[in-house]
Amino acid sequence: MPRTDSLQGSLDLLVLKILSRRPRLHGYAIMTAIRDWSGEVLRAEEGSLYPALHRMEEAGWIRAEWIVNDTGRRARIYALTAAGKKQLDVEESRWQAVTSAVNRVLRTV
Amino acid sequence: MSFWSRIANVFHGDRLSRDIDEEVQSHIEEAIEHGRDSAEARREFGSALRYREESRDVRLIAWLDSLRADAIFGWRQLVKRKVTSVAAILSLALAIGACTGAFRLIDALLLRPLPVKNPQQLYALARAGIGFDGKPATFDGWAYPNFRLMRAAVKDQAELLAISYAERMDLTFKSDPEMEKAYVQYVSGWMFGTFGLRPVMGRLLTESDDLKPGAHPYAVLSYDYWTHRFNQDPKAIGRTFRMGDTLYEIVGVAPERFTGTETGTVTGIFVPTMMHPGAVHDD
Repeated sequence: MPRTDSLQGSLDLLVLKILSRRPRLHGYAIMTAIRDWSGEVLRAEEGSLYPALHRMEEAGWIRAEWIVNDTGRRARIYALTAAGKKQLDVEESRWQAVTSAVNRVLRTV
Repeated sequence: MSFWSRIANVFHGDRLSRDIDEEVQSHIEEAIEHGRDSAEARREFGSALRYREESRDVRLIAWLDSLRADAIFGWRQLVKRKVTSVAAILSLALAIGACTGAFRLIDALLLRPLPVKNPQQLYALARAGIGFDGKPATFDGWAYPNFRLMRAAVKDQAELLAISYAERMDLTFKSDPEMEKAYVQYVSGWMFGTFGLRPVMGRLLTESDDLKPGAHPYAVLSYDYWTHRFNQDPKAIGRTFRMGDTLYEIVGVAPERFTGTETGTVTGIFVPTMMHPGAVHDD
């Protein structure tokens, strides 16, 4: 089973979202994007990011291909599939539901 | 990635591992290029091996992969300890063979009826009485005159057959000076008709082959005997052999599934009861 970490539950959502905005990123770029776009608050660890990528690739949400980038280095880049776009909607609305529910609890108590 | 590609990945494990390793390597190089310390970047991945295992398991079918690994490991163990392996394989083979043999015996003894017409109507007669030593005993032998009387008495309700035990007898084929042995059974000539058997070659014995003592020197071969003694040669019909003082002529071959009436013994030659020395004298 994949290792759990603090981003568990939202890591898939973040990766899908990032790939929907910026297709064809490799693992390192996805990791930096999570860190930068979250204002350096969130951090995906390599040890969970790559198994998550491979899991999502297995599920058919993203697909991978090897390319040679500008610096002549081989890199495995990822892009969203049609199924991945649908999954992003599902994950996004689930996230909204969860956060608004948590907020409601916080306001009430 | 489909189910099939996951199966395929099981058998291309090395390529998959290289793929994953290369991605890690490319990530680390990227990190270094962005100003990260090389050792630190590597440390982030923790144990590369464990990471590889995790990523690998996602991309192939884990249980099939372990099965493959176990099979390879098992094979190497077998090759490494040849003597032990051979001993183990031999004892397994012997055990399986013994079990099969035992089952075949039980099958023949208990489960399979004689391959004859209406086997459920077939009975073996025996008498229970007091033996010569004064103890209770069972007899399944009958004097031939008795048999004749009994057969006549039940004529309309049942058919009686006289059948001897299969005996290992010496015989010589005419052209062949050497003595050989075969299982011979003396049977009533009408047995084949009563059992509904049809000849594979030639003809089978009939009632008219079993009328007068010593007058019908005809023999029917079992299919098995015909096969291993004559190699299924059609010319076996008409050949003669000497058994005791009598010259017998082979007249036919019985069907393959009929191997005699005795469980565990394949009868080779059937001859009429009238040719039995015991049936000759009239007492």
